[in-house]
Amino acid sequence: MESLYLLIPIALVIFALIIALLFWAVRSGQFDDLEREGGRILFDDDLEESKRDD
Amino acid sequence: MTTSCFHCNEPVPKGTNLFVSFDSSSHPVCCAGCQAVAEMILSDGFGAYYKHRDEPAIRPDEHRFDWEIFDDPAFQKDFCRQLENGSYRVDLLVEGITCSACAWLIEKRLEQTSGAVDPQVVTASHRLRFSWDPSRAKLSVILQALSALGYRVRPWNEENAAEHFATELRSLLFKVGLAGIAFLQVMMFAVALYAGEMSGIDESHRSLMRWFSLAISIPVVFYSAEPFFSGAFRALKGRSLTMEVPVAIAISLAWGSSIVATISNSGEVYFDSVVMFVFFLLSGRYLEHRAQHRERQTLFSLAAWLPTSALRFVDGGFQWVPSMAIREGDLIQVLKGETAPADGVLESNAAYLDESLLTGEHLALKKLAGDRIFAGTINTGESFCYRMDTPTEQSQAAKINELLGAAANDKPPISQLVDRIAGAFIASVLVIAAGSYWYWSASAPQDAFWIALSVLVVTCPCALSLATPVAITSSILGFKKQGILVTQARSLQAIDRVDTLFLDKTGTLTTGELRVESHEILNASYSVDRVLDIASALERESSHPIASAFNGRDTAIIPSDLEIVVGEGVKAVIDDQEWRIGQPGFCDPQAQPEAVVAMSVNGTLVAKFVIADTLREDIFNEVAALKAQGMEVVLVSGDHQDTVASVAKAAGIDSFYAAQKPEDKYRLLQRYRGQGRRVLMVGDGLNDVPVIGGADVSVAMSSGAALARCHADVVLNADKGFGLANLFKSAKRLNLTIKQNLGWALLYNLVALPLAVMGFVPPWAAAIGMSLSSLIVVLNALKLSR
Repeated sequence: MESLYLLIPIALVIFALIIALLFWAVRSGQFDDLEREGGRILFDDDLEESKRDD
Repeated sequence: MTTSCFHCNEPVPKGTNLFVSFDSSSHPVCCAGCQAVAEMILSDGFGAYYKHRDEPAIRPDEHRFDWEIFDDPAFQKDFCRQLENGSYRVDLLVEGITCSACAWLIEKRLEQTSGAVDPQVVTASHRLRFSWDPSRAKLSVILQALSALGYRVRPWNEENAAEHFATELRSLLFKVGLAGIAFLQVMMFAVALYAGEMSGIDESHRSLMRWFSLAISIPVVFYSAEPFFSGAFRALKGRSLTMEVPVAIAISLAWGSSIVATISNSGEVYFDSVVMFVFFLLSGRYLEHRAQHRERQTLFSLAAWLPTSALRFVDGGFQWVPSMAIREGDLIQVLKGETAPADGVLESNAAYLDESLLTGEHLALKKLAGDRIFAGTINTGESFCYRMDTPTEQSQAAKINELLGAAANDKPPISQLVDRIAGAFIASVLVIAAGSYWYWSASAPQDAFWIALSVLVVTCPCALSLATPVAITSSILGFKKQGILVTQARSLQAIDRVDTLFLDKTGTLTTGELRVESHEILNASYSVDRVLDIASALERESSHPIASAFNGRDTAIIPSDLEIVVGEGVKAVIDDQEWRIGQPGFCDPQAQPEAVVAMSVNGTLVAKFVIADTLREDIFNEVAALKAQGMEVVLVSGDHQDTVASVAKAAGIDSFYAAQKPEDKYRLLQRYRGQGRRVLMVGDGLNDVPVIGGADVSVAMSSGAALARCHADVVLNADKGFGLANLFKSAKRLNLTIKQNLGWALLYNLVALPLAVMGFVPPWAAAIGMSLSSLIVVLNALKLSR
């Protein structure tokens, strides 16, 4: 059970990292417009194609 | 079958021969404006827009004008902010954004435009932000590119409440997210600790897990729970006890005692309960805030219902300018079907205006030279000129806005059952806890602290404070499935006490679409179909609202020499005979004036039509159901006496008030409220907005004006029927659940408190009891979401 003394602090570090990630994601506006994100991938692909056609 | 426009999806008028080609086939469009925009979009390689959009585009404004006013530095300072590198950050509100495809289109187009860097569109708030380099392009040139795609812009107003709201929502999301992640983490330690409690755990391991739970709970208590502490502080400063006070007390006590237990390595820790409690309470707040945000982010400034462009007389001719540029004294022309941009005095001989904005009445009013023209009213006749004499901020439309502000201020507060209980409850618990500490410190000093703590923990107001919010949160989700959007959750509790219903006519009881209610054929040699076909052919070109009643017939009749006589009707030649439709006197000089649309051939009457607004389906049953619940139903409309009376009769409503202006409606509301009535207002128009702002509970139809929607407590989806009876039924269920929850929480406390005072409840059992009572409350509330 000695490993707990290592694993629990690691869990705490991961917790801090996830919080930092969440903070960054919220701050950079990723949750501001939830309707938008679903469609993003479709659009950019098609733009590439239509440009290649030209 | 009518075909619909490739770009805006509106029906393509007969005889229009405009097409665009896309995906190697050719698609019809409804007007030159749509064609130009669609070709622009396709030639730039943005065809994906048409493939992936969820909503059709808004029909573009056909007027081309330059955006010169945006190059004026004095004007720019409102929405441009200089950045360190010399470029500017520009914030604009874009009109015409309907779905995420629009956002993509705008961003891609601007990326190709020189001078605009890093464009970002927020679909929900319709905001566009980009960096602008003045040395590379004028702002007006950049905006020209956008307007070629059919989008219009106006400055983004920083004081716009939507902006503030979005920031608030972000911070709340972060608080919820933090609490949620911490909740998972602390729960993992808690499970280990509970398991250890049962099967034995090494002292040092227990201590280790407690210390780490403590570490994780610190940000939750100090950051996520901050709204509860500041709310409690405000309440105490104002010498009142709201529900936030017991929440704050519960958090600090449970957390504080857990710290004591951790440091002294004894007793029990409640970190898991604290974090879970904060997470549940915040989730409810977040959901409610998002629902409000959805409505508020829709355009709701005064400018939103005035046109973006105006036709102003400059240097001997009329020129299109943005409406922001017009000033008092300008001569303005309003074309057929367009909206007047400002208040002023009519200079043309006559004009026909739809003043539904101010009165709710959709039929046109005749105005003569010298009469006043109001901003926001629609020209239903031929084009006219008038001179602006009042600044936009003082227009009649602006006054409705002010009235709304006044109304919102004296909206009655909703007293919450739980707030009334809270004060007495907290006070008595604190007294009892202190009393038991005092008693036990005399007989068993070593146990006194833990017994007092048990009293506080076991009576933890968690269940009590969760009782209302979880029930409301879960019923908001339930309402959503029925097409009812709740923006002010607290109002749901007030619905139960409503005894008077104010209903608006147009758009609420009726759908706002005109149709031919009945027809009378006066000349037997014409069939009904033939008559309606001819009427439809005659009215096709007219923009008068009544003409829309005849739409929807597919006829091959092409009239020639068609002429629209303003305020009278339409005449045209079909099969060498002169047909007329319109006022009875216009069709046949000998005809009696009547409130019908007449049709004649060569001066003799052929048919009469009664035009009426379409009543919502099922409205009669709905009203009857509401009346059966003991509700007084009142119809309040800006329309004429006769029309209102007939609609009231058809819907089964006994009392009605006709010809009510917005201020009359508001006065009526005050009168009823003075008699001790609790009023629920249902409306959809701008003329209802003051009453919506001031009623005990207000309901708007989703098809209504944005301003009405964003001030209403509840928004009903108009497509799904009236749904008011449903709303009442669900609100009743909600209130029942809240009462059950509160009853349960109080009962639990009544049983547990004496046991704890007597020292029978060890702290760990208190913690289990606390969690269990909260869980029951949450589960009971969850059934509302189904």
